[in-house]
Amino acid sequence: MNSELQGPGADFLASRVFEWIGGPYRALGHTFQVRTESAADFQPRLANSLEPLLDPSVAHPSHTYDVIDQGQPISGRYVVYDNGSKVGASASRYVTAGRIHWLTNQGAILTAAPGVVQLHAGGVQRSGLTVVLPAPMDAGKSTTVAGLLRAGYSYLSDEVVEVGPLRAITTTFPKALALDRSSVQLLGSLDAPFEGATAEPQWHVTAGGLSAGPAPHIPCHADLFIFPQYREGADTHIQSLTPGEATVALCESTFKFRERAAVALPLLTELAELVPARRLIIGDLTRAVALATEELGKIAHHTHQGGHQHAS
Amino acid sequence: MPADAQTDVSRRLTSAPEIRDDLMAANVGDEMVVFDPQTQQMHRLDPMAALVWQLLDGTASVDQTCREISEELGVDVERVRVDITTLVADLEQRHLLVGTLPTNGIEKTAAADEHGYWVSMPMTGCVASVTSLGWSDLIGIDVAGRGIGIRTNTPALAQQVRELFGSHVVGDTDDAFPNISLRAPEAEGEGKKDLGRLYTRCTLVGRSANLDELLARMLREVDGVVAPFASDAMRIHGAILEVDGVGAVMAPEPAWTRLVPHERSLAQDGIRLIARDGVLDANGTVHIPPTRIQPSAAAGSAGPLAALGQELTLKLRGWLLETGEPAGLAIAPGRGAMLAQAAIVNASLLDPQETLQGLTRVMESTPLVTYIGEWRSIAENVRACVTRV
Repeated sequence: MNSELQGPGADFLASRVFEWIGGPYRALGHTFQVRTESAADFQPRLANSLEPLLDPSVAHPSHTYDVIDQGQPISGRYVVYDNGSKVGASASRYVTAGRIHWLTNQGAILTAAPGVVQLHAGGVQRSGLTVVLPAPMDAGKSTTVAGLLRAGYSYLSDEVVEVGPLRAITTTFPKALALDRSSVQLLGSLDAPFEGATAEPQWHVTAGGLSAGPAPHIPCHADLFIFPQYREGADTHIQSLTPGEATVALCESTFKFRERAAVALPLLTELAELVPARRLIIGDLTRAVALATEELGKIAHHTHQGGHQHAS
Repeated sequence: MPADAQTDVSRRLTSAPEIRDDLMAANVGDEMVVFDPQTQQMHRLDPMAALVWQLLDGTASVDQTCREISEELGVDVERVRVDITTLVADLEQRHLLVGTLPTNGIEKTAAADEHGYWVSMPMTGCVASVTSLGWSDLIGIDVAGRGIGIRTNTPALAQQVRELFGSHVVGDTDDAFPNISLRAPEAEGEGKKDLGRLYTRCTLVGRSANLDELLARMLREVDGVVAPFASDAMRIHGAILEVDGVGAVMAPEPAWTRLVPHERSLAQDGIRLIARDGVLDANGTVHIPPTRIQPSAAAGSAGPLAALGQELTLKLRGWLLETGEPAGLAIAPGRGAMLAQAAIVNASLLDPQETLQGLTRVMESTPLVTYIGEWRSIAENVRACVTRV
């Protein structure tokens, strides 16, 4: 399963001993493995958080991320290599593990399948219906997804959802949810992902850690767009978006929109016309989850009545 | 109505506005959405605006258009005039009409224009107050072919940022691109302890006494800056050699550092080391931002280098790779491609997979040569690339 290292550090890395090797993993079209010299420093941080991305069917991961410990408490102690090329260093285990997660996300984002749009979005499923939650960073996307998982939804992603023509979703990116300390406190009674995590500013929590499982219905269709927006102290409420408003919001949440506008815009307008869209203003997570569930219930009812979905 | 406003309305009524032809528009139900590639902004038009949009083709004055709508809908013409002039004013403000786009770009600073490929974004926070905080370093990093400026308040913090981004660091830049600004938490000591701060586009996005927290958060901010802008272009880190104005030969790292000592000898042979780093597109054209052109190459330049201040584009004629093996044209392109790919992976891109697919396509039509670290060998093989085409 070892990818062939080609970078200038390949010979150097060949002489190192890796105590922990994780993988092979798949993040959408991106495949990789992780090797760390020190198991104690990184296995607790990475093994659990990357576990949902394990894919034994990957025979030759395209990337190997290596973490080398220079052994001294110096700036840049932990050096990260990508296929034998040094890509960064930090004295902090937390930052270094964050760098691996970052590389994972970037890899997923840059390997879009042809003909789909990649939305910066969370995704959850319930009763066979799929909710996509596009939002910019810090809008409360991961926290909302976590709240929905706690309420019995199953999990697609908290970062990227790929949607194709006719609102089709054929892939998932079930990475561990990245939850800031404030979100962790909000969710309450959450087990620390590893010993010592309580001191860290952000936790990577798997869907399993929130007592949820992977989405059972893949491929599926996007049935509801919810654009979450956290506002401290706000009155939690939900409002409909017109197809035009939804299109603009979707464009703003589409990776590489600028380069692919000619392809993405027709696809996103189609999505906005086919899939109902709501903006969810969140002051209180519990209330927000209830409102989202209520909204999905209306769609389920409409679907069972044999109605056709439309975005109005 | 104030006199100025009255004049504005009169001006609009006699004008014949025309929608810019570079906009991308799509109907959504009875609304319309418009993407402006110049400003990178999305606009939504309500049903009334979407209707009028179709009429603004530059052939009729606003007044004529108002009369037509009035007759068509049987609505009082004065009321239509109010609505339409308001709408035209709105479209003007959004720079969607011909002649309303400022020539220096709306969202770009002059310096961003100069640098071309740097990510330029509107500053959304309190720019003056953040700028006045005092900064020491501005580090340029390259993520997925886009440049990002990260500003720090101490050299020690800058060093940590450079280490964190490793090979993504493309050098220091000027203070025109503080996409991200990072202040270290103040050291423990007498007086009030100041928390570290992280700003994106001069908007405060994080405060913490824990520097690691801010660094990790900064990684995510880089995602936020880059993600919507990630480019398909392939960024090559290394030397770009130009031969008699005919084309470019690229020498990815580590060749760059090995070539520098030979620069003068190569120049005598008509081979100029013109730039460090460039962007290769899928058609095999090398794009070099003006600030990347080597000053020595620019001095007294002729031919394609004469147009200084503009992006330089050259046809890629070949790759120059140092392998430690006998110099010459690579007989096995597959091996050469592999070596070049490794060099480019080393260059920067976070996910080379897409890049490599594009690169492989380009390399199918591009000669690969190897050299040993001696200028005569370099000159011969660079010229071999060009003459083979």
